[in-house]
Parts: sequence; structure tokens; C-alpha cells
Amino acid sequence: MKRYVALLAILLCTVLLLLPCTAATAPRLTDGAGLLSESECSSLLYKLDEISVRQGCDVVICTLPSLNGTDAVVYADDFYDRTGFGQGADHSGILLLISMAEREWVISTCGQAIPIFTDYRQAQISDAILDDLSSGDYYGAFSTFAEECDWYITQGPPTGDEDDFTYFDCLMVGLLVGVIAAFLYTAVLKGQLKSVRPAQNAANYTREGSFQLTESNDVFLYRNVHRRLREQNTSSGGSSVHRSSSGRVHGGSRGRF
Amino acid sequence: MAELLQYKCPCCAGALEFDATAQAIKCPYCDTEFSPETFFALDNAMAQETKEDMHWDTQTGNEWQDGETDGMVTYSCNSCGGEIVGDEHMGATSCPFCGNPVVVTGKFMGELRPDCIIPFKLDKNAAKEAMKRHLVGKKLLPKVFKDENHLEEIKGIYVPFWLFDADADASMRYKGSRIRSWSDSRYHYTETSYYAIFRSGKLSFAMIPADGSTKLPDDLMESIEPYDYREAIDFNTVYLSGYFADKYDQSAEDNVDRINARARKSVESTFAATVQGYSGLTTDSSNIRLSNGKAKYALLPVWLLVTDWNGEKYTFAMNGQTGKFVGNLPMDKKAYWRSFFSTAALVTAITACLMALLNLV
Repeated sequence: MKRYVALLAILLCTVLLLLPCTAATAPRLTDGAGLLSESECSSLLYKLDEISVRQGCDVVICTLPSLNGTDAVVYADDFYDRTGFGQGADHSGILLLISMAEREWVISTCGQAIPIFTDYRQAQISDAILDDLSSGDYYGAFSTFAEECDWYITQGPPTGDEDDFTYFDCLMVGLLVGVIAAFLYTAVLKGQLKSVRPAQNAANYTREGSFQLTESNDVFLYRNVHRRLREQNTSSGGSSVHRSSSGRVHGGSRGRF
Repeated sequence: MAELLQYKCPCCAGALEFDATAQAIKCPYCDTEFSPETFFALDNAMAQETKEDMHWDTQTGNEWQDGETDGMVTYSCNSCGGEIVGDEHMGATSCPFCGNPVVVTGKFMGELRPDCIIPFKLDKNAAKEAMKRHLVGKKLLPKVFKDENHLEEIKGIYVPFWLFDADADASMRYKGSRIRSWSDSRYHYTETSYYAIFRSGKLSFAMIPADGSTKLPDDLMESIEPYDYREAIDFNTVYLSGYFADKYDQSAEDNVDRINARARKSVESTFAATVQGYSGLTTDSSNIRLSNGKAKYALLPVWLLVTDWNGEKYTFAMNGQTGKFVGNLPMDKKAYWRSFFSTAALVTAITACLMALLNLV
């Protein structure tokens, strides 16, 4: 019997040890500011867990009554790192943190989520949730955040700039191209009407074979050398990054609502 | 008294000095250094530059022989003042420059006898056909313009031209630069090397034409060039029958500036084409000397049609030898904006749709 108990204990220990590797130690929704009802909490948590497990990338939301003077980005990064969020060796995940006293929001990304959530995409996400945040529809804002994250993680890192066009951009670029094309086309039509041009040169009237070069001399005078410091390679993927206090690299953005 | 010689720096034009320690000629202003050899070469070449001379000997033409101009009369137009020469059998006719009736004012006399003439090769029908073709396929041409043309009024006229021959000696000096760039782990380097480039040589011109008539716009006559001078023959009044001949009212001398400008352009571009391998090139000096410059007086065949439309005068001209037809046409403003907006709308729609589609993929 004792042997079974020991075996069970070892098994339990193993499971407990393995647990932090496969799943987050804290729930992916921390409503410290008490903005959500219980049913909203559980439905949102279910959604976040489902997306995080399916995508292999944590999507975490945290609300706070106040930052108590801590910088929002620092707080978000530390909260993410210390709580042990993130999946895989590079702790992939994205965190949305809002603090009610300062009415500030922060997005912090880590690992695989950094190249996926470019600055542009983060701006798109914050644009999508800002109205709801400002008007107090926190459940709506957080649901949108979860869905947008799900969509972008499925997209993967952007391959080019092509997903940065909106329909308005398409129309504007189209209009520009259209006006330029119309100018060129009508210039051609206008050109058809004009056939009188003054002669610029007398190339038709040079005597054949009369051109003789009697002197051809190139003399080197002087040289100038300019040197310019090489630019160090900065991230060109469109995601700006910084280091958290734990030394881990995070991407992110911030704003007020 | 000793004269103080000053040399200018080719880089900044400051006064150069000989630097005893470096044994080189140095510019105290921009710190550029030259080896004495380089500098002597440069100085020599610049010293050899002679004065520019684009002078022409424009004594030309012969006197008429007795009896040669007997059948020729002068017509003059009371409206535009144009004076043309024709044979006495042409009867009542209209002015080729403005379309108004002209009257015989007297027997032709004086003036110079042309050296040569290119006879008309294309007849009136060919000219009318060419005019019709000229109006085809021009979308912005007002529709009524075609119908209101008086094709019958098209007239063959021998236009007086001065044909200029000359040999040009040219010395050119350019400043060229070559750029080389490389990088090491810390810096990008750009090295610009400057060169003084000298080119001298000869180029000859034969029969550059300039019309000697103030009634005909210069650019119109230049636009129907070139004529094939191999078909030019000695002048004889017999070629004038049935056609008008314009009397020159601009001498060869009056046209020298036009011809010089054209010759200069050609000389400069011919010499510049021999300078290769430089990324930047500026002409420092261009010195052209003409020799054996002379002008010939020739009559060249032109078909001419003058039309009035909406108060504007439109002149069309066809080279009577090669058939080259020119003449600016009026524009229908409404048609212009119609084309503009329809093209803009179409291209905008296509571009926007294509971009949106690419976006969705």
C-alpha cells in the first residue's frame, strides 16, 4: 500500500513539475479592476484559453485599478515575465493590460508574437478596441482583442506591406495613377496636333566622315573621399522592441483611452 | 616691371600657390594639390585656346542675265504686304500667305539670281491627299475643322533658302567626375575623382538651310526639313512656270545667328559623345571657329495652305520634294477634358480594383 502511495506521490510531483511547461500558471484573464461580471469573466477566459492552446501563443488580458506610479510598459512586461506567461522556449504571447486610474492601455508581445504583431497591426488592434474601452464596454473590447489576435496569429508574420492597404488607400493610389495616366494620354493626344517644332541642331547636315578628333586628352586633377558611418542594422520587420527588467525582449505599444 | 602671374584653381577658382614642402601646386582655399606636370598640361591646353570665330562669308548669288526675267512679274498683296514672283500668265490669284487677292505690280526686277533649285516633285493632288491624311486619327481635333478647309487653296511656292556650308574647328574643355564607392566594417566611402578633359577636332557642315522669307515662320520651314540636295539643279526660270516664287526679304546675314546656334549644338553634341566613362560631365568651355563659311541661294519647293479658324490663322506646309507635311492643328477643349476624365476614371477604377484584389489574396 505504501508503495502505491509513494508511486502516486511521484506521479503527482511529475505532473506538477510538467504543468508550468505546458500551461500558464495563472489564469489568462486577471480582472484586478473588477470591470467584468462573473459570467463575462468565465466566457472571456474560456475564449482566451481556447485561442492560446489552439495557436500555441498565449493571449492574456489584465486589468488594474492603478499602476501606483510604475511605468505601464515596465509593469506589463514584468507581469508577463514573472507570472510565467508565454508558450515554447521563447515564451510566445501577447498581453493587453489596462489601468483604470491612469486610463492607460499597453500591449506587450514576446517571442513569436513580436514579428506577428507589427507596430502597424498593433495600431490596427488598438484602433478596433479603443472606442469600446472609452465607452466602458470592456467585455466588447476584450472580445475584439481576442478575436483580432486570433486572426493575426493565424495570418503569421506579414510577408510584405500588402496587408497594410485599406480600401481607402487603394482608391487614393488608384486616383493618383488615374490622373497621371490621364495626363500622359491627353499629352500624347495633344502632341498629335503639334507638328511644327524648331530645329535644334544641324545633325542632318554634317558632311559624312568630316569629323576628326585632333586632340583627346583626359587629365586627372584631384580626388575627394567622403566617408559615412555605417548604419547599424535595426529591426526592419516593422515591430519595435525593447528589453524588460528580466532581460527578455518584448514588443509593444501603449496609449490612453 | 615684372608681371604677377596668377593661376586659378580648377576646383574652386581660388589663386594657386606653389607649396615648397610638398613640391606641388596647392590651392590655399580648398587644399587641392596638383603635381606640377598635371598643372602644366592643364595650363598649356588652356593657353592654346584661341578666340571663337563664327563668321560667315555671305556674299552669294549671281546677277540675272539680260532677258532672263522677261516673263516674270511681281505680285503683291494689299492685305499682308507679301510680294511674290510668278509668270505673267497666272492671272488673278490669291496670296499664299493670307488668302487675299493679289495684284500684279510690275515686271520682276533686281534681286539676286538663285544658285540652284529643287523642282517640285509632288503635285497639288498629292498635297491635298497629304492634308487629308494629316487630319486623320487626331482625337482632339474639332470635327468641323475638317469640313471648313479649303483644300483648293493649297499653293505651290518656291521658298528662298540660304544654304550654309562651313568647316568648324572646335576646342572643348570639360570637367568630368568618376565615382567609386566601397565599405569597410565601420564606414561607407565615396571617392570622387575629377578630370580635366580636352577635345579638339574638325567637323564640316554642308547646306544647313534657313529660309529667307519673313512671311513664313522659321519653325514651320525647319519642320519640313530635310530636303535631298542631290536633286538640286542649276537654276532656270523654266521651273517657275505655274508656281509662285517668294522673294527673299531676309538676307543670308540675317540668318547667321540661327545657323550658328544649330551648328554649335551639333558640334557640341558630337564632341561630347567622344567623352565617355564619366558619371558627371560639365562643359567648362566650348570654342568654335568656322572657316570656309559661305551661303548659297536656293529655291526649294513648298506646298502651302493658310486657313482661318475661329479667328486664328493656321498654316500648313508640305515639303514639295519628300512630302513631309506639318502644321499645328486647333484643339477641341471639350474633347480634351472628356478624354482626360474618362481616362482618369477608367485607370483609377482598374488600379483600385487590382490593388484591392491583390490585397485579398
